[in-house]
Amino acid sequence: MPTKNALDKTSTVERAVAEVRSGDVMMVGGFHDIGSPASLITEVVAQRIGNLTVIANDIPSLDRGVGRIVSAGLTSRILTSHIGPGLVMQRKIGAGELRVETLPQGTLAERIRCGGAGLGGFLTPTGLGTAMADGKRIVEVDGKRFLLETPLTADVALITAFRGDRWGNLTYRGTARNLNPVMAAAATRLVIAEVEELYEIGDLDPNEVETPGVYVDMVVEAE
Amino acid sequence: MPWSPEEIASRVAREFLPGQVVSLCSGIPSLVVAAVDESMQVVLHSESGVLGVGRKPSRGREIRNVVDAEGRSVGMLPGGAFMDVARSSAMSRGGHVDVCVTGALEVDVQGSFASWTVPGKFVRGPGAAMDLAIGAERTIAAMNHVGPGGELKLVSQCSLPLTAARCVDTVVTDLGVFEIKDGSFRCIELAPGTAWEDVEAVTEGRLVRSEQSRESEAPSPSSAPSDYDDEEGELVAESDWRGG
Repeated sequence: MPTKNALDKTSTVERAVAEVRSGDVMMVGGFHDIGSPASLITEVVAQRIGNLTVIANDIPSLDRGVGRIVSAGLTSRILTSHIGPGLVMQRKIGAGELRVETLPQGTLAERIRCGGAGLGGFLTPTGLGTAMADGKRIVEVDGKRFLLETPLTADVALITAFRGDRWGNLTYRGTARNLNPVMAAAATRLVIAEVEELYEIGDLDPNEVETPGVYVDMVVEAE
Repeated sequence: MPWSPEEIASRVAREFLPGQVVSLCSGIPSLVVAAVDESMQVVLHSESGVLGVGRKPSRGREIRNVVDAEGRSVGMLPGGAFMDVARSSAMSRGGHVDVCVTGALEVDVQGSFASWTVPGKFVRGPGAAMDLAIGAERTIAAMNHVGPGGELKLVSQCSLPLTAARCVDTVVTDLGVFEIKDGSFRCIELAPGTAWEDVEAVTEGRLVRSEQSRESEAPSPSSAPSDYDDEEGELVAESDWRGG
């Protein structure tokens, strides 16, 4: 019996999600429900892992994408750039049942990128002159004013990709990229990649790999 | 007859110049895709992470995993490219997108606009609209002239939390086309059958009639059938709450 290759990070959806803990800060890929790790989300709901701080590009609705974790009552706080119009969700926010902080998409993405790249933050013109600047430091460079934005990291990231090999090299299709490649770098304890098609190590063209496996801790096949 | 959302979108498309890169936010702006074809030599960008957006393919021929800012399936024109959302936003903020078409809850005579929240009622978040409006050379607001509850939306000063300050240069509404210039809305075109008095009655900000302003010939809505007919009601309401 050959022993399992030390580079092989494949697991099952159930075992991978069991590594997520209540109270974790969790990044979840997806733009609306495109490029969203559907099997991992289903399993988080099934295992009732709660008190999560969720960081996601958007919360499209309570029945799609990461919204399914929100509607299951498993989040204590949400950080996102956009929230769907659904009245139930909007009422929950209004009533203070959902703690939501919104920020510009580019600021969210770049804060996550900084978190995964070892940077201490960045300076952006986005949000100057708006409520997004409240409480933030303004820094002047060459006569131009910028907001200082700080990095974002998470305990875990649930991401999805088109093809992946057993080490976690990943390729994407279309707008299913969204924040998946960025989030892959920004979780400090665990990155789980859900792939549509699983390949052996060596079978993906290195030219096509957008997320190198170095960022990924566990690889699961979409169910 | 005031312009329909599709007609507003067609009128917006007439502002584009060949070679321009244009980003379409959600709401009425997302309808502009139906009014743009290859012959216009315009490249459409979406915050979802795509350049080269084309009309929605017919039912059953959708391209998997390609959506616009609304999360709706769209097609691709030749020469397109995909990117992650960090790059898509950086492209907008960095000034590589020429024109941003946004929805708005309010636009004021200085070109500031609000699109992401009505405190106490709705929090939608800014999406990519802040990055786009900051970076684009031109920002066009495509919106209904009056809100669903009769709220006046072309105002002297925005009362809602801003999306971005002083960046809208043109507003296209169901009633006409307005340039923002010298602290006023300068009407350069009225929708067919719309009287000057009709516009005056629902414009709170300073309104000036351009000498050249005329009643528009109906902009020919795209010959392609609208994909959104059955959802028009939702869309109109959406445009009032969504900017990004």
